[in-house]
Amino acid sequence: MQNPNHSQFHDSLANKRFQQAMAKDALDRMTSSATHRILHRDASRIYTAPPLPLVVERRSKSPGNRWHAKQEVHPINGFDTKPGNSANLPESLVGSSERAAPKKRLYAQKIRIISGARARGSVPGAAPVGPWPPGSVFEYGSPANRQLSRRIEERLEALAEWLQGPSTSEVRHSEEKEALVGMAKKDKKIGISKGDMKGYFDLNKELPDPFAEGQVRGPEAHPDRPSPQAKRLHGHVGPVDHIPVK
Amino acid sequence: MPMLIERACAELGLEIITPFDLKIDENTTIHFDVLIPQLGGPKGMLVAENYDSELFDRIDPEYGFSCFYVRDEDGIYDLEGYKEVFKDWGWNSRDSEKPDWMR
Repeated sequence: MQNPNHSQFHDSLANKRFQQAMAKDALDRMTSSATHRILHRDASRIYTAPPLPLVVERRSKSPGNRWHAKQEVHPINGFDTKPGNSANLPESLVGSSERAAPKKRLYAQKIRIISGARARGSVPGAAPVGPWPPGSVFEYGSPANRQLSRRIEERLEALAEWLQGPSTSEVRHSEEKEALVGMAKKDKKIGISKGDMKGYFDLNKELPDPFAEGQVRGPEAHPDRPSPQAKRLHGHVGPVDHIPVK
Repeated sequence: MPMLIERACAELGLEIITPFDLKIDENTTIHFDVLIPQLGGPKGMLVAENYDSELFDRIDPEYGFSCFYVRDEDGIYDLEGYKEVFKDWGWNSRDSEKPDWMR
């Protein structure tokens, strides 16, 4: 049979871990949507790339050449464009190897894959500027814009860490505080006097990192809880609950 | 300056009466710093700085009570800590639903 003290400690730890896991899950969902919003906030700088950026050369010998010629859709530098391809990007973000040359390839400047998303179909005769995984999310723009993007990511990560707080295993207490808790754990087995409870309260105030108000309290009794421990006179010292008070 | 426990109650939407004098007979009244009617016992949870066994033994058992110093200006405020304290005391209100944070 497991020691009931250990069992209680284990349950409390497991409960905290469960709560942390739930918080992390919620946080992941939140930061994911936050990133999504940021990616969309300044559409001139950061794009979620819908279909794969496509480039079709004007003098392509592909089967779609005749169709393209009929459509007369050559708005940028004489290149064929289809909705959703890289030629739809603002011209300031699209470079060409030689603007004056008759044969040019459009390309999005310094593309960086951020994360995955759904890719859509392609245009016959068109070649993707890649390779990258289907449905990737891309970041376009100047180094300054990418630096801004990185800073946003760093802030988000810092925010995520702050929101999650330290894990149970990372919480560090002063030696004195650990000693106080250790003493309370021992006292829980045998019970304490009303004077001892007052002593705990005073000792806590002397700690370099005292427990917050209300964490060391007693004697107390509260009939509304079903457990008999709560109805009897007891005290609390930080994480040590229901220390019997004689 | 409001007590930290008042701040916690305000943030968590709990009623609080402060101070609260409990008359236990014709000639005796016990002074409490706080009564939180929705917690602890059917009549609420009392908080005092010091415990007096002679007097506290005579308190109506429908009250819960606890002892700690709530007027500490240097006290450390920890809302999460207070939530744990209040959860431990338990919800008694028959008129209103238990708040989500107590579940």
